[in-house]
Amino acid sequence: MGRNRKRMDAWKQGCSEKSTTPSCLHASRRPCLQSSILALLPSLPSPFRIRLSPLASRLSTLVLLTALLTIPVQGQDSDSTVTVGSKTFTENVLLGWMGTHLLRANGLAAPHRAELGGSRFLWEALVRGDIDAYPEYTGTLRQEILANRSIATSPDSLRAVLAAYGVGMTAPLGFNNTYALGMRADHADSLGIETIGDLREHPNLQLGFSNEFMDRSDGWPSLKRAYNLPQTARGVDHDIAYRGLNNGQLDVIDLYSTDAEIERYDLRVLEDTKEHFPAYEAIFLYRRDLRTRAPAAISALKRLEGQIPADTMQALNARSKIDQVDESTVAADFVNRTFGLATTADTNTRWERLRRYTADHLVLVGLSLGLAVLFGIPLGIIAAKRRILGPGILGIVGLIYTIPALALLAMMVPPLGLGRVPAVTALFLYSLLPIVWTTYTGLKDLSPPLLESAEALGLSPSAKLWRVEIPLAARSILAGVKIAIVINIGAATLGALIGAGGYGQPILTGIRRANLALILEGTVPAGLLTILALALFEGLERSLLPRSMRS
Amino acid sequence: MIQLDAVTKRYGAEVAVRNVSMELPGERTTVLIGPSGSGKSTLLRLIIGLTQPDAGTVTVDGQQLTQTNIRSLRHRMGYVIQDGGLFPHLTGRGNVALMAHHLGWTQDRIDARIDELTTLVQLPPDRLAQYPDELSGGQQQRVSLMRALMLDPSVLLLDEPLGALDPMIRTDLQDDLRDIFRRLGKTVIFVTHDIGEAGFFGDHVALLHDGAIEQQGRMATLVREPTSQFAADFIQAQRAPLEHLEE
Repeated sequence: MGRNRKRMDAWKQGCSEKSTTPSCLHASRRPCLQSSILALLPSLPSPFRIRLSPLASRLSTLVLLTALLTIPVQGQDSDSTVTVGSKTFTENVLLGWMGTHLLRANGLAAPHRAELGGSRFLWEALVRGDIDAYPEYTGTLRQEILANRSIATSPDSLRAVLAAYGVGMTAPLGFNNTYALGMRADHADSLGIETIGDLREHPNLQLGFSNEFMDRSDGWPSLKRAYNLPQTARGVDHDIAYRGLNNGQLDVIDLYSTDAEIERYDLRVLEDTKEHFPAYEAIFLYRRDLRTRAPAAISALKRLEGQIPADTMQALNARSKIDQVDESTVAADFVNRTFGLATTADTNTRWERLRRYTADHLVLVGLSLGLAVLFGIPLGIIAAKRRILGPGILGIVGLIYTIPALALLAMMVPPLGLGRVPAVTALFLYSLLPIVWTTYTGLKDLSPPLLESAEALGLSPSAKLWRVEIPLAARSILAGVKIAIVINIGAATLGALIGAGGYGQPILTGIRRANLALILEGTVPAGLLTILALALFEGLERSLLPRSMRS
Repeated sequence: MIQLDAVTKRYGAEVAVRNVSMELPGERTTVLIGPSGSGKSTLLRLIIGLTQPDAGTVTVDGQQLTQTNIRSLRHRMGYVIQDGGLFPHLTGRGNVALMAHHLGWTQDRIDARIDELTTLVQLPPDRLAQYPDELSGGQQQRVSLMRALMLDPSVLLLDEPLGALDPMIRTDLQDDLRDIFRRLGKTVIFVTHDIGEAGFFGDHVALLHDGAIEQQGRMATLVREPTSQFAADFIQAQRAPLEHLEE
């Protein structure tokens, strides 16, 4: 936990902490989900310009209603809204909240999309305009994000490169959260170790480093060379490393210089006399178009410059991570104390949170399922009826399903950005398979004598389809929808990873904070929603199917 | 009136119907009889266009069957199969009225026609509210007959309609069916492998063997003067069990 800052592929954990976060971040930059859905609706029934059987018409009404009801009714972002993002670890979330509170104290509308993802993800969201500002570290910019550009050591040259991306940077906020080596303070004292170089005299010390540190260019191999250290180190999970340090199995571990655990475990941070580790000065990045759109935002963020010394950051991290005080409160207390403000934290009661998660989750599930039914059933029908198109449709839909839900979600982000649009799209694609397949097999498995009876009556192909085949396959089709409901409600928890909110949000925060209560806050409602949705659906099934067709 | 002209139908290498020409006169019952696989059901399916001949032509009411006119010609033909072929998602009434609804009949006209047919097939009217699987086998066949007769077709095709019924119900329904056929005066083609049933219904009987017509004419002639060894064997085979009892 808390080590993921430099993990570039770090999974996009995300959530929108404000219920006002719209599905379309900037209407001007991307077509809006709502309007595109609305544009789609009137054209839906037209391909089926035949008289529908009562079942078929009830079914299509249901689909339309589902789609209409689930269209989010939300306001639009105005240009003056400043959206703050933050990464998936406590310190960055705290900084994100500090910026957010200061922006709000300046009268700006500032939603905070906390825990959005890893560094690369936030950077791209910033450049694309999904977010307007987020806390970053100079080392991460130089070593990772802009690693392919050779940037001189001066802050100005970094600034110049950022400007080319339309990104501005504040001065350092006051602390350097770099890699460091740490030991238990009493142990270090007894051996007289104060600097990394002092380790040379104690070749028998046990060194345990996070796997990432073992690999990094500025990690263990180059550190060992720079200080000519005799020990061999082993790779250990970071949380386990702290425990190993505590029970004496390990003597030296890697850490971040502002880790909450430093104070908690009374650790000595060994001095890096050779300045081997690059500087990871905390700064705020912001879109330069704020200078015209919301100039007050930049000056608000700049108020943080130089205000957060390392020990302060360490204490704030500890309060949030170890004492489990939520980040918004810790950050609000800090800005109030530092700037004499009276901002209030974004804390909600469990019920308020639950209501928001539920609303978000229902939007994701309702929209994606509605679309999946809307497109899945016709696709299944075409697959069953058109010999040429059939294998192609089934193949593509099957192929989509082989993509892990997580990966599918990630693939939606480059073209569609963050938030509901990519999440709904991914969930829609993911829900297609069961519906298309059961529609296809339902139609293919109809008894030949019944089909011949329909034909012998002289029904036209479309009348045969709507009056006989689809009603006969209805149970199978509805079973597919039922499977899609179960899959979809579960998979929608992943939507939180790309800022779509929902029950996944408390689960992700809970995982980060190792807080079971938070995890259950998402898991239990998701389970209940599944049960409720199935019960409702079975009631609906009963009203749709004639009694002879019920199981 | 139905005319088959040099009709051949193959399923892969197997010939189901072999160069069959026959004329099925109007307003009469013709029974197609023969062992399983003799091609009698295929002949029926050729007439209603569920399968297309590889050679030859089928003519119904003076119109040669083609892909374009088949649907309208089917409205002049009723088709009943062994297990009824009723749609399980529709009630008896729903099954009977399906086609009329599709053709846009008024509800009054539909109701009047269904009343007529209910009386004709002697089905208790309340049974029509039931779904097929809630009806007895005999009732299912009566509903199936109603469905076939709904549009008042000139031709009625029945493929072993009593084959799945137990003997008592079967006898009842046989009597009713013969009565209905006589009263309606339609062109009826009745497929069966049961020679007793054939004799019961048939003004005119055609014995099929291996996809071809072995012998046709009046039932009494067929029984008394079989013209081939096969015809003689076929008749003898069905007579044998009872002869054993008579001894």
